[in-house]
Amino acid sequence: MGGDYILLEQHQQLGDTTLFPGSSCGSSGAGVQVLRATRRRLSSFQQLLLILLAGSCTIALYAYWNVMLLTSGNVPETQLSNETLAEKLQREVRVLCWVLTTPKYHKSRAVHVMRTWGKRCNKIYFMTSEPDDELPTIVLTKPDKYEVLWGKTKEAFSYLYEHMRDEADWFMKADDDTYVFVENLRYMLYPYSPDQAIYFGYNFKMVGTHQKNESYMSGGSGYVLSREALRVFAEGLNDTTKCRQEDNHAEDMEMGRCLFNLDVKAGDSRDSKMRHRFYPLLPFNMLLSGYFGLDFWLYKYSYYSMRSCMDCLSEYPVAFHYVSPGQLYVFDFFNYDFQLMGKQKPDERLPEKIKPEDLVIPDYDNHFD
Amino acid sequence: MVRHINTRRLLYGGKNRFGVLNSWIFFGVLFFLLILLYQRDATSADIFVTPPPRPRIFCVIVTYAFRHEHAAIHIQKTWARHCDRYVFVSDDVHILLEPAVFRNIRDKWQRIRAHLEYIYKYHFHQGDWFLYANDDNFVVVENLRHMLQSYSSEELIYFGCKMRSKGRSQALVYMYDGSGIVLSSASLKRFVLEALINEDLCSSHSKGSEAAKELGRCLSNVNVIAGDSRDEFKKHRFLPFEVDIHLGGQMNDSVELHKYFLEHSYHPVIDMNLPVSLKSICFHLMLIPITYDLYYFTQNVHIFGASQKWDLENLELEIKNFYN
Repeated sequence: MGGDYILLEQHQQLGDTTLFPGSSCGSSGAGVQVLRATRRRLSSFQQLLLILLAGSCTIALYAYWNVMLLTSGNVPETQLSNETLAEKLQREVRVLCWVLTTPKYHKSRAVHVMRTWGKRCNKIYFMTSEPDDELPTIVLTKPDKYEVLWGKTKEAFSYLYEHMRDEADWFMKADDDTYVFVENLRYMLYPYSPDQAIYFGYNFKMVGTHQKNESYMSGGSGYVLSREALRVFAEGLNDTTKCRQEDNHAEDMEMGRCLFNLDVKAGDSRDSKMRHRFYPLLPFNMLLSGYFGLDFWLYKYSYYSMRSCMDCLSEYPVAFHYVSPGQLYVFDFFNYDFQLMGKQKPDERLPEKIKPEDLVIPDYDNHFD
Repeated sequence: MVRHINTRRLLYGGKNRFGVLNSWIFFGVLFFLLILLYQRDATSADIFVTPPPRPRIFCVIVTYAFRHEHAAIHIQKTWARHCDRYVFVSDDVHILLEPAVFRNIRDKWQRIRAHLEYIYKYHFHQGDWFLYANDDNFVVVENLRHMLQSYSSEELIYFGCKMRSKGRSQALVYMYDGSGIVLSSASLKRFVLEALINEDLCSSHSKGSEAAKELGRCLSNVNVIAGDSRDEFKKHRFLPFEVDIHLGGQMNDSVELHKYFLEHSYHPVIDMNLPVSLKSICFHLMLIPITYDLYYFTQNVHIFGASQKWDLENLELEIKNFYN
């Protein structure tokens, strides 16, 4: 305490200054250094004020930090940029769709595909034998016969590889009676890299003589190849030991066999609850147990075990088959336009990317027979 | 400078020590004690109260014994559960449907009379609005609730797919019985208590295919208004036919039912098409398993990343279309 106060004698030496405790007489000249070294003592009131201030600052900062921590995970980036997640994915996961069709069905089916889900792909092309004024067509040389579907598929993919391989990351094949949920397709494909040779669809067990875990994807509900898989396929399809050179036989089965021989992985397209996203029929076939008897072909061909129940299809489905042209509009309306009052959208976030070396594809488990 | 806390006087004893009554410490302590005294945990009344009760919808689903297994059961598995309460009315018993059984009533109008009387007697307290639907209808009950929020169930009003009979001096307005009919509780009460007992107001004879017209006639005789069930953009919420007719095609003059509807529809039909509301309520089904498709799409399917602001976007689009 003694150092805080200057002695009376010193004070009087320095001149006229009023003496009261805690004063710092900074008005003088050289002798001031002694005084300045004196620590200014705060009064108790000021001490109290300082403590309160410091305390409330600490509490405020802590609360702020806590709140920031809690909400930072929940604010999606898109809220900052005013772009929806679907639009962001449209830029990042580019999908090129191509539809197998024939001039007979241009106006009765293909046009409706274009008007409903076709316009949502990044690019869409119709593989047919004649051009059309309303559709973006690619005219192939193979005829539009069921027997040469495999040949047509090979030609279509080769054409895409030759001319459009840089236009997209993923290449989806569909029929003109398929309905594709393109945003959900992008959501499914996001974790995978297009530089990995992989393809997705509804897995079927390979029939006849086949190797272990050999599967192929149903052609009706569509399948989607990565850019790398397209490259591998286009460069390897002329290999007589690996791919069928004739144009006949079932297109989806030959595709599966060829891709299996070329070491393209057959991915699992199911969601995190192991529910199917691709389905080779209409939804009610999976949702209504007992619609088909147990001798129905799907039960035998399916790669993964199947159960029919109301909750057995994914909430983010990707494709269905056997959708008539009128039904295409029904699907479009109920999934995109219709508003159910009080329907809650779940919190949607982009999934984690899967590293190719971490990819695990479950084995065949449909032991139905 | 005044020391506001003199610790010596506070902590030590002595002549000038602080008692509790001195200075602002007294007020501080007093305030603290007051807070302690009046502090209480929040009661439920302080927390935000639940929103007003939504209009309760009681569903009456008309079925028949031969349709139990291939139609009614699917209705029960899908949309019937979304009604606040529901009851099946049929002509035979069933273990899961547990219908109210009405035997040997051959005529459609007699059945409607019997059903509505039964509902009034036994289930009147269980709903504010009563939906009278068939087992080949697909109904979105949430949208019906939303539509009815702007009406009171004390009003004498009923809704459905509005029709008008032709060739009479005074056009009779009625609702298409192939789609759903929604009665307010007041109108159901009025119908049962005043119309059913009065032969002049409401005939008790068989009416054959004129059942829906007779219902319309009875209700208008007791001053029940036939409401407009279209939404704010004049799009229809109660659709008479199947989803793919309305959404993916057109009505066809050569089909008997379509022709009947086209001639008798209350609202004008342009280009053989009815504009379908985004918040539509009732459709007819030809193939009953489509119920599962529609139920799956409306309840379960999400489009990943779709904008949450679809209400506003669609609103703008519709306003544009409306004025063009």
